[in-house]
Amino acid sequence: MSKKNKTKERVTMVVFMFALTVFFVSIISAVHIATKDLVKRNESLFLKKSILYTAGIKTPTDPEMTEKVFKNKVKILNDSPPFKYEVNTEKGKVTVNTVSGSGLWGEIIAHVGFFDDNTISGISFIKQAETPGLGARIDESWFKEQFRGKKRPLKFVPEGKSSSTEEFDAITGATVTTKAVKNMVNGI
Amino acid sequence: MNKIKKLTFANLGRDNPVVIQILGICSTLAVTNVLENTVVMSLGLIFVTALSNTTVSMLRKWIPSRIRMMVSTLIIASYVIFVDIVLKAYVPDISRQLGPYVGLIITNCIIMGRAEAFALNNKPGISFIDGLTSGIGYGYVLVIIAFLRELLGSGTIWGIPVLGDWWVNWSIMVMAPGAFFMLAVFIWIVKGKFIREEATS
Repeated sequence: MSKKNKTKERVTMVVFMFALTVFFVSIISAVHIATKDLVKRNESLFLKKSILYTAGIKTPTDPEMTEKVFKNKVKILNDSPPFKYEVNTEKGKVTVNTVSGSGLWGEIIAHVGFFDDNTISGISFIKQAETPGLGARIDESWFKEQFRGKKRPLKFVPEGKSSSTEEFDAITGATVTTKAVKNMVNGI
Repeated sequence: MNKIKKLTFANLGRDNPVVIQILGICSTLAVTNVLENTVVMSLGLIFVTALSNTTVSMLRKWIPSRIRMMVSTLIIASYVIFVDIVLKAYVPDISRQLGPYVGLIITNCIIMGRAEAFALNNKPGISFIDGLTSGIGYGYVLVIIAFLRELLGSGTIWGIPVLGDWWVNWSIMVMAPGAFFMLAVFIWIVKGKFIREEATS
């Protein structure tokens, strides 16, 4: 192949790749922009639901109702990380803290709520990357629900063995994750 | 029509991407411990293989052969990002559970393999069928493995407890090594029972 032909081939390749990239990136950007607000709304709704759940308030399934309940009951104490909220519930004032800890595979971020007498109102995980089926079970409701009404400092006992307000059930096969959760709850 | 039938059977059985070609093993190990994630992952993969195959096939006459892999990757990545955005917007809960796995569809060798081996030499229609059936061939193997792993590892199916309290969960089944055992046993049974007969006939 002559030198001229080679140059031509190279130019064609670059132009082809460039054109194709522009084409696909434009489509993806369009889809991204079209759904941006929806994604943002989903995320903020998720956080609001998590805060209400932590405070022990039953979250309505309807998104607009959730927004309304949130507006009525939650006061933002700290609107930059670490976020902090104050929630008025039937059982009293709850302070919801955003805490983080190191799990097995990555950072775990959670909302933990406390009443004024230091009793835990609830816990909710907003970010975790633990092993599905093992550590990721911290997101199951039996695990989260058991924290309500417990008192710090907590220690963990084998799954299904907790009997006092200072103990919680660990997850079998996920000791690192359980320890991280314990430190997150106790550390505040 | 005959060609389509032959292709479908090949992708589902004799040339199954997971069992015979041993492709897509990373995701097979990673997502199959919970059935729900597996099904979403499989649907995502079926969508991406079918459409990326079609697109590559439509462009096959213009793609310079030296950069064909770059082009395929670009096309595949675009579809995967599309799936990721759609999941995030419309089923945020599942998207959150799957986490980084959706993005990892890009690196699934089955998609690249089909684009390279099939779509570059065939017409769009048949390429679509090929992508679709390859995806299904991958998906059903994963679903079988996930079903068994979730059942043995967590005692549940689709998150619903079925085995009761007497069952002691096999923790190894929900960890990656469990998938190695399950997949190996599955391939052993399939190859020993079904494939050999076809080969001799």
